[in-house]
Amino acid sequence: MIASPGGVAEWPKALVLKTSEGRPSESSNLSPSAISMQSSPPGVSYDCYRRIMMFCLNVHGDPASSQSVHSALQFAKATVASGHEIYRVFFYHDGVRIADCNQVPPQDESNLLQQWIEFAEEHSLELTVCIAAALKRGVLNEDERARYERVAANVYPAFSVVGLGQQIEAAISCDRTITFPG
Amino acid sequence: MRFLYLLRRPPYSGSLAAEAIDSILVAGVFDQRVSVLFKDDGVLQLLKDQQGQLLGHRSVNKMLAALPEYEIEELFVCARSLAERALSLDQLSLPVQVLDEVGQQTLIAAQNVVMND
Repeated sequence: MIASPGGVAEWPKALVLKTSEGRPSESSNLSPSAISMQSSPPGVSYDCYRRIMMFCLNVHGDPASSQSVHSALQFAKATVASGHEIYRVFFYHDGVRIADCNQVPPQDESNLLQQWIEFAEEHSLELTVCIAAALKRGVLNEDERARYERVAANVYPAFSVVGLGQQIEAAISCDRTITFPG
Repeated sequence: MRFLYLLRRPPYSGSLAAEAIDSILVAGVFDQRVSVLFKDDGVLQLLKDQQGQLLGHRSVNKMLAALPEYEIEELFVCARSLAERALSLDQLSLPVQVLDEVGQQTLIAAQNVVMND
């Protein structure tokens, strides 16, 4: 995971303490220790950090063979639990495979698709997959299935199939852009 | 806003490099100030005379050649990554600026957004 400069690793302790007050039950479990251990940068008052931050997440790894999708979910939960907001989750590269509703994870492994869907519903998150990356990996919604005359659509309805412009627009609109490489 | 793409993957390891370049071009279309830092195996993307078709790919250096057309001309390479691979600037297909670690830190610190592959 790599944060934008001035990213989460630099947040002061005061931020977590402030924002967790309203949500003690959630943040007590999920507050990311990496954030709460930091002190403020020299010469910077806590006041300028005391606001809700908007995050966008880029997720690049294959859900079946990399840790990326799982790490992103944990980060997303910690972000929300700390009182911040997630503007959009953009799945790119092999990450688009998370939207494939045909995946059958082993019973003793976590069902990442199910967990993402539940988390996104609970917090009204926008889950998006890149259309170009999805098409070449056989991840098609009904529109694309019809356009390319393929056998079956397999995108879980909670995911929007969008263009790369949505990735850039999110990065422009957010305070922090975090990427989870494959 | 200032966007930096930090590219560290080799050119023909799956489609990572090609898809990252797609994203760079879209950022260019959005009229952002985009720069690119090639680091680690990412410096191999810049090599001249690639024949991607032999591997069933588009040639990555030809895709990168489109960057100046999108007014993306701030291209940087990591000095250490070049040295480790015994590469010199005349083996690269685009004009780039070589940065040491301190230069890279300064570059990254000046960005609003860092995207990596």
